[in-house]
Amino acid sequence: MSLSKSAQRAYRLAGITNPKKQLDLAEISVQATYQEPLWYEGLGLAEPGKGMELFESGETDIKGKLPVNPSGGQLCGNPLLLSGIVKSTECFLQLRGEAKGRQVKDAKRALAHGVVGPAGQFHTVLIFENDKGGK
Amino acid sequence: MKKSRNVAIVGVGQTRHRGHREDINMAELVAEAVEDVLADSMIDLADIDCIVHGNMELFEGVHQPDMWHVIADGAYGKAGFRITTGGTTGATLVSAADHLVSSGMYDLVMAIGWEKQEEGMTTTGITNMADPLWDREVQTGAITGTTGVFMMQKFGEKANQAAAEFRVMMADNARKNYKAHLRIDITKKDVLESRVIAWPLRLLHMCPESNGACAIIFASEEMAKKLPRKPVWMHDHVTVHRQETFDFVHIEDLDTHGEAAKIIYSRNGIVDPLKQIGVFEMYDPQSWWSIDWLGKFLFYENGEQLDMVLNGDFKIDGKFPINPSGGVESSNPIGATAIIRVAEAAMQIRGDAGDHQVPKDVNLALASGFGGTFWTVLHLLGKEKPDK
Repeated sequence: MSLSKSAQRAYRLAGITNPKKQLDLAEISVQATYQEPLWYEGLGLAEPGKGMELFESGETDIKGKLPVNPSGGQLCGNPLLLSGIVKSTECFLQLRGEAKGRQVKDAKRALAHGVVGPAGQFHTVLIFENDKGGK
Repeated sequence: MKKSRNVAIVGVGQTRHRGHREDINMAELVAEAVEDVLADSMIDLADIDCIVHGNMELFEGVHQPDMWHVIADGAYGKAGFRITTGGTTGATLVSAADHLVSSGMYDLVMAIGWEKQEEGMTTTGITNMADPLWDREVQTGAITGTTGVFMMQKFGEKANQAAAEFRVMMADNARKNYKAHLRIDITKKDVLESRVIAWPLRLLHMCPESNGACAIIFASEEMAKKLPRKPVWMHDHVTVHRQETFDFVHIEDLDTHGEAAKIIYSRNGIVDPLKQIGVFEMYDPQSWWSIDWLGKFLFYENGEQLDMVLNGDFKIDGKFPINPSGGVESSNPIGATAIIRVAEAAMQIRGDAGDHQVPKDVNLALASGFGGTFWTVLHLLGKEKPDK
């Protein structure tokens, strides 16, 4: 799966060994609900086949251990070609503590994800940190 | 330009550019250039970190061809970028690869530009890019005769002679380059008597529609030291935009070439381009543009470049060789055209361009790209490593 290749490469560059623990939030490109558990698995947040369990556990809710899409994500507005940069902007706001009503507490390290291709052939994963990240 | 680290060209590859390649598909065309660059660079495809891939999607009508072409360029599972900036695609590929290596992100980046024009309709692609109401003042492809009209008004018959002379010079050079598409034996009389397309632009002034691909491998300084090929260093590049829409009527105002040249000369201490730059591979799709644009790149206001053309100063063994490869007028696979300029410039610096090698030591070479809504990309390459 190209997402796991892309994610593993980004984790290696950023020195992340346990994404679920080391990330404070993730903004991922979910254009249809079925993609969410799939992308969890690709990103290594859940074991293969366990993406749905992670979703149902509530850990990825805004108050969970690893909030995913506190912005509401693309299901609430999908500026197609801009979605990847919008995800990055969201991470930027979160890491500056300026995400207002959707702020994740003490966010230090964030993941942004973009995808293109009807079968998810092409993924981009970016890791952002603020000056408290990586410590 | 300030760079984080130096970048070198460590290999170049091209197809033989041709009007008909029914024997292969687009991916196979790309594969030919990739095989050529791997042979030239003596690098294993597995060692390439990132692939930058570009063409004009509208011309073939195939969306996201880079995804199909992973089977041809080895990009499967690697980082990849797709670039489609019109005529400048090839030059922008080089700028992108330069940045990707210079930034420290990757050590080995392969840039590939290609076009298989026989599988599409170029003019249809171009006219559909612009809004018919606001952005399309003339129903045409990218190339018009407008510049020729202005050159004739300004300089009269001398311009007519120079445009024909320049085209003959390109044909002479192309016959020395076995990869060129049109390797025709023509005289000035042939050009001047060829069919009028839009006065004073004639059929033989024009570039062909070609099928072709070109690939270049870029390496960081540390990596380049370990590689077998003599590196050619990327000194600088600049992109200058001016018009935001397709304005074919006011093309005589095109001043992005002069602006780009001014920036690149001043940043690199070039006060006398004719002396300091050994060879210039110019993106000039028809010879009326050639004779006009040379004046812009060299800051001549009174048509001095026309005398130089008629004098033979731009010949392969002249004072300031232009397009020893035969240029765009001899081969124009659009997405590859501007990257071919850079590859040819690199070959001239290495001194291994074969029969079309300029008979002198080339320390600095200039390569231009032109396209999009009339913009210019300039690359300066050198034999010596730049001071960052």
